[in-house]
Amino acid sequence: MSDVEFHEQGELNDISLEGEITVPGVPSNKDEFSTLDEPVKDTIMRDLKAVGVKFWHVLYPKASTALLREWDLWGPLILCVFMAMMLQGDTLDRMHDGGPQFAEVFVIYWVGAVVVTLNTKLLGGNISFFQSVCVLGYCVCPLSIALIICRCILIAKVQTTVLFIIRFVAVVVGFGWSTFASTAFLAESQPPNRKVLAMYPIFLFYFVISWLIISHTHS
Amino acid sequence: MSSKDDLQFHDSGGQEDVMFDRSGGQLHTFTSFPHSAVDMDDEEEEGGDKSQLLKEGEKKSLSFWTFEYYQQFFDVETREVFHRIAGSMMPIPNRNYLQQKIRPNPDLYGPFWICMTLVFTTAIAGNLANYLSAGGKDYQWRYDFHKVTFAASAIFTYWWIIPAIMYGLLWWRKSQAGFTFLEILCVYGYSLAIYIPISILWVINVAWFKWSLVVVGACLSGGVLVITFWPALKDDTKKIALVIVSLIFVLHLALAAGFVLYFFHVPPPVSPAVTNTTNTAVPLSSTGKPFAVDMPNMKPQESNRPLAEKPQASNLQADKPGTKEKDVEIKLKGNADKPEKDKKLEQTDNNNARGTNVDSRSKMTQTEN
Repeated sequence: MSDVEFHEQGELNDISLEGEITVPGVPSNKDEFSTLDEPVKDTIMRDLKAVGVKFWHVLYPKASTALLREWDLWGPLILCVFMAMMLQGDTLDRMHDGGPQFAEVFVIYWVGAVVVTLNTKLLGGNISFFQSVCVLGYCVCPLSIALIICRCILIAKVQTTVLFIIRFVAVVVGFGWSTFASTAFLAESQPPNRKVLAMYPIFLFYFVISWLIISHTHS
Repeated sequence: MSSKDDLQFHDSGGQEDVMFDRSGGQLHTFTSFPHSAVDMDDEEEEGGDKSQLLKEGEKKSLSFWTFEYYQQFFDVETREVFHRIAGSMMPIPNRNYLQQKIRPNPDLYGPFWICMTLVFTTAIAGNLANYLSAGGKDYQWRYDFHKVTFAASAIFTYWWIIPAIMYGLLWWRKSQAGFTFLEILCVYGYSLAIYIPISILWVINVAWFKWSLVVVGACLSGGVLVITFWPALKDDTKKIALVIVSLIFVLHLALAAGFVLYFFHVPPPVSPAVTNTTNTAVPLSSTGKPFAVDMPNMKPQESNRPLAEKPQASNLQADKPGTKEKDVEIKLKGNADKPEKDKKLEQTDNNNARGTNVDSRSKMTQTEN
């Protein structure tokens, strides 16, 4: 009953109510507002650098969390557009050329990544939706390199068995690398008794993309 | 007036602690607690199979629109999935597949990924069979990506529509076995698992081997299906039960036969005969071949035609332009320059229906002369 103090009305008016609403120890938010003022080149270079760092992490996979912590979908989009352009069938001569159209590759890529991610989440994995799509998209990078190699080999007029074997080996290596890289990032998010169940759809996804690459014989 | 005395209020004055008279009133102390109030029991149950609790207690309360509703269909372990796949291929008369393997916990993981795998293995193996059958590497082979879309539609339709029909049939006959739609879906999905290795083996282009694979696959997994559904039907009249059981088996067999006929149907004499006559890269000795190849092969082609056209008439109708185009591509790609008469022959070949191939081939052999 003795803790309450009563101030005179005049005293209240003299107490200053100004000051900063900052909590000591937490970094202030002032830096984020300044990205509006920076030159466009800085913004683009920063994003490109982030994408490049992620590609580096995929190509030399260690169990790091760089891909997971800050996900972005620029890299997967670049890879998808590149692959769809390279893989689309030739529509100049006829309708039934047999190869997938640009839209079909696009759909396989994105719908495949979404379905595999949904599967991981339904099995109870503790990874967010976009993180998983990001990892799956970035890990297609070795297969894109295999596609470039195949395309270079296909420039030769005469396709011999040896060249086919080289293409096949390149695609197999790319497939193994992609699967290994995605396993390194995604394996810890599942309980051990369901790891195979979660990894198999990823294996199937990269297998289908590898098949699209190996069977693309551009004339 | 004794009560008034009991209720007298004593003025304590605020200086000393008030003493409550314990002897007068009744003091009830709680010493025994009911089980639901203690936290220890709940923790013990959580250590066990929590998913069982979810299913038994809260199954009905999960809304259709929440994510957790769908998670309950994926509550399996690696071991269980492998056991279920193995069980779907082995029809053992006494052990009911549904009761033993699936009953407490039907899942959708296995069926869904089995169907996806089957779609891609069928499409890839179909393309591979096409490539291998068309001969060597001196022409450009183009793969047919649209096989994937067709395979996907066929397989997913089979996986969903047939269980819907079965569920409807069992409900109509008021079967007492109590199969839920999810369980029927699960059984049908796992029964497609045997077709995955079979579809890879179908690449080997030996006709009797392909058809024997069809029969073996349909018998094994169809057998499991029949044994699974028999308890639901045995209370019914004999005739109806037999009709439904045979319907299950026949549909399963028809699916396998459809795969072979659509994806792995290799038209034997048409393309090698025509490419041998028009492909200038082939050595001259092979020009004698068309006569030898045509005669014995005309008969199997004719016998194949009614068989091929009858059950899957619509598929082959759709197939015709595709394979026709492929034949034309094979011919066009193989040669940079061709004599005029061969171009005309191909045009007439295109215009003819598949059934009149014999006539066009005879025309070509005549012009060869």
